[in-house]
Amino acid sequence: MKIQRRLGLSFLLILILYGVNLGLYAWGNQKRSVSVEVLQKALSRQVLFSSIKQKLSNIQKEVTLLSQVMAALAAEGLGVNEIKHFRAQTALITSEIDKLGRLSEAEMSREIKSFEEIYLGLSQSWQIFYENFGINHAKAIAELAVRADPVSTHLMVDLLPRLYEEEQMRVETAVLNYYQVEAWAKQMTRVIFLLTILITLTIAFFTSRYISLGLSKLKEGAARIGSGTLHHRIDIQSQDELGDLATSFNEMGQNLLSTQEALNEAHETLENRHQEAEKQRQNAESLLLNILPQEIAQELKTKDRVAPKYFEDVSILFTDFVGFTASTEKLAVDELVLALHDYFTAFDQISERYGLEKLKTIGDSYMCVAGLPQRKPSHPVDAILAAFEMIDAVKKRQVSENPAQWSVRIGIHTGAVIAGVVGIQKFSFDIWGDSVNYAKRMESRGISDRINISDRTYARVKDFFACTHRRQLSENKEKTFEMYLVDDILPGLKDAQTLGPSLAFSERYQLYFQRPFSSHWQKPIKNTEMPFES
Amino acid sequence: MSLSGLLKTMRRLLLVTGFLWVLFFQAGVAQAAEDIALVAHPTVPVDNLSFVQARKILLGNHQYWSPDLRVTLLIRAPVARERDLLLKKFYEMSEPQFRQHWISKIFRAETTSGPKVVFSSDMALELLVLIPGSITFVRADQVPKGLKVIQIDGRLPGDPGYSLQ
Repeated sequence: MKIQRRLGLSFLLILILYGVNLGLYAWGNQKRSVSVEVLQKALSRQVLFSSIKQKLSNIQKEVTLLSQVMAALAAEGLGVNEIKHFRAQTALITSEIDKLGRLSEAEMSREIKSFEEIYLGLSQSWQIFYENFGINHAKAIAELAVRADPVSTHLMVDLLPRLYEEEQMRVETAVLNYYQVEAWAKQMTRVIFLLTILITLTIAFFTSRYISLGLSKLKEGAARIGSGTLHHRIDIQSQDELGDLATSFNEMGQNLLSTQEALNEAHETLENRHQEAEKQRQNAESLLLNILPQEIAQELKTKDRVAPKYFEDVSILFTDFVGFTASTEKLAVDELVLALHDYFTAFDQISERYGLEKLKTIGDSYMCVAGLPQRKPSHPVDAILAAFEMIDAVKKRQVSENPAQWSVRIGIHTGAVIAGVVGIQKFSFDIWGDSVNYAKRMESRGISDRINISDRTYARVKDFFACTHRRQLSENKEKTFEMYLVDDILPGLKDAQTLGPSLAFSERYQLYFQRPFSSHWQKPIKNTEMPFES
Repeated sequence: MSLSGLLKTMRRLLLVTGFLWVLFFQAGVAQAAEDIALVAHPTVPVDNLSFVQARKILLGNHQYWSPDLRVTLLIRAPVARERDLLLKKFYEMSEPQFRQHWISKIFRAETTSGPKVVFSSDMALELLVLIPGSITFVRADQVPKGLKVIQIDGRLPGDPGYSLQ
């Protein structure tokens, strides 16, 4: 049953009870009115009885006194006034008896009628007495003694007291009835009023409890569904508005669950795709970073193009393997590529540690640059330290098990370059300028497993490394190359144990370049200690 | 003595006796005629009343001969000898006391009817015949034949010791 119907029926029930109460109140009032009317009539009859009795008694006394005491005084008969007064009295009594008859009920009315008939006979006898008193006295006395006295005695002694007593009983019954009706009506009014209050409170309690419980369940269910527990179902089985609402909530929850499952599936699919895309992006970025410096790659990603940049101070490092050409004749191509991969991987790791930017490999030549794209004044020192480690890495591979036992020439020059990206499909970050060619010359004019640097580079690193001056003429003899072979770290800056940069080196590095020296130096390992990894 | 003398003597004796008888008889008759008789309607169920009973009836303390038969007193109006004798012998009251007695009785509702006053013996006797249960007091010589005279203490008017002489 719908709540609206329940409330409506409850309201109707309360109205009916109020109506019954009102009806009872009206009925009680009506009964009271009837009782009061009956009581009033009874009281009026009682008053009339008293009045009639009194008047009859008066006349009787008067007659009796006249007949025995006053007879001597009225020897010539009664006066007109006395007779008129007597007639008026009897007429008044007749009128009152008539009125009594009208006020009486059917049963009583018959007795009153009988009483009236007897009284009329008495009245006639008395009238005869009055009219003959003192004139035809014997007739008067005879009438009185023979007819009037017995009748009046019957009336006064028997009939009237009996009627009066009956009337008294009626009055008492009417009063009792009035109080009974009053008490009953009051009691019933109280009972129905209490019943109405009880039913109203019961209905209010159960209805509010039912609605409150239902709403609490709905609230809890909505909260749980809202918090994501979509499989939760609101347990309201009723067929009313709460049940409808609960069904709607449950359907909503089911729909949300279905939607969420679909969404999860879509999300999972999207996530997979995203991961795949991310993987591809990372691969692409990794590939991009492999071929481009991070800053350049970022610029290329954001602007789709990279503006050529001028770097006035960078150090360009070239390596070239000695013995590679001979190895090409001995090794299979895949072995050769594998060997190159091994060497260049080691170089890549070293370049990364020292902040050098690998530019490219050309055959067995490896080209990288220090000091770009982030400008830093320590780049010549960093390049030489990296070169030392590259030589170490090459030396580590100079073992008998290695089919590609090469040595390496390294050339470094410090100068200005133009850097930029060329191409639209296969990007290539590269540098251009005389410095690049000069650096290449430093490599080509270098010595196996030694670092050959230009005089400009030397000028920047002489406070860190011990170098040996060299001079060579160009091929056309027109130009002289002032070069230096880097021998080692200056003795005072070399750590005796690691054979690498010492604390003094670090302090000088920080003093010169105003940046902390993070030592990437790895203690050189003897060739026997490092197994060859093919 | 001779027979004639004897006859004369007897005649004289008879005359004297007759005289004496007449003398005494006439005196008795005259006395009986002055007594007041208690006369009652034939329906009255008693023939003899004691003085006390008669007094109670006259005072209104006994109002019924039987349940259906009222006592109706017919009493002569004042100044009549019958009334005076009645007041003196039975009521033992003066005229005002008698009047007051009945007024009180009526107003106390001890009776619904009092004695009825009649103005003559004839009226009394006339009403007596008409009213069942009635009694009245009249001179004995005025009582017509056929009416019921009630004895008082077993005596009738003229009897020695009769109450209403």
